[in-house]
Amino acid sequence: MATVSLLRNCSRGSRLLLHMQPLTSASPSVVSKPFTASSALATIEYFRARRGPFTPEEKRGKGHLITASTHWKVERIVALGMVGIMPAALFIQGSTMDHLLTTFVYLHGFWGIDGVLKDYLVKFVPWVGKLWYLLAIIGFAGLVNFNFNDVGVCKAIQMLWSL
Amino acid sequence: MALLVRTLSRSPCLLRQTSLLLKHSSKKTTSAYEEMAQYWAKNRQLGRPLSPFLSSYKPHLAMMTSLTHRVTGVAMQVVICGTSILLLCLPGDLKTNLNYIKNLSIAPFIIYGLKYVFAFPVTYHFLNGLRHLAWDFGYGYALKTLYKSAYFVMALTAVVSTYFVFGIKPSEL
Repeated sequence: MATVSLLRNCSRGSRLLLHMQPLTSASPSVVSKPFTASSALATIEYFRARRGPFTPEEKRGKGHLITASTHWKVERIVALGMVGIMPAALFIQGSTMDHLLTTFVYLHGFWGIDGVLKDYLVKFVPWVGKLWYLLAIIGFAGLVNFNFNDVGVCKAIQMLWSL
Repeated sequence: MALLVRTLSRSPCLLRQTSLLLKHSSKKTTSAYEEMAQYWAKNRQLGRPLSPFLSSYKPHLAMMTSLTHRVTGVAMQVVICGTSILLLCLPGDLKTNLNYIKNLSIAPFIIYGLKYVFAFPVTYHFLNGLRHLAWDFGYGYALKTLYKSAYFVMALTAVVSTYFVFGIKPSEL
């Protein structure tokens, strides 16, 4: 905003500015170079940040089943569901509650970590999202297995709390 | 502003940059991507610091509640996922493993402390999550409301998590 008003003032105030020979505009070939605050960080080629400018295609990504806004709504619905499920789990226990609690809490946490990784880490370590998918799948399989073949999540928390 | 303009028209070094800016603005048909590309090129050229310039912010309540929300959330999911994978790997069922811990006969104050470590993030994230949901639905943005709800959630977290730690003790299972 400040820049815009500055430019307006410049062009109005001093006509001279307009006759200046403009510099050759920065070429987009700089794009692939790492942009880091410290030069020491720049030497670590592998962990260099993939920072801006991203093309619209890169921003959109590939192979999404639903739009981001729909995903956002689904996330809120799950979060709203948890508002009911978690207090209910204090009073009602059983295999249904085990599976409900596991699915909702785990899904919420999965998206949470996914978002945090995308915010901070994916631009440095692009494969970290895939690693998280793998760990998350194993973790969820473990919980489902625990619900079916062991005491279940609700009972487990009770047992832990009775210590 | 006028002073700035005068300085600009006098100093040749700044003039060069201004003409660069002028060139950008004079382009009538630049796509958003091209503008971004120019912006990033300029950032690199000037060696500007990265955007979330954390060291220049003085921490304030809204920032800290939000940060705690994220940190507790990440910590809990890491613990959930880690415990799940650990239980997959451990031999024996939960009961025998818990009995093993029970036989260590850990001092009660350590047990209560650990219970706080578990109860606090769950309670805080739940209660502060309600704030976040309210924001998502467009309520509670007024600065006064924001601060009030933050203090309310902090107080309620202390009360509820204390109740969880000392008030609930399931019988031996």
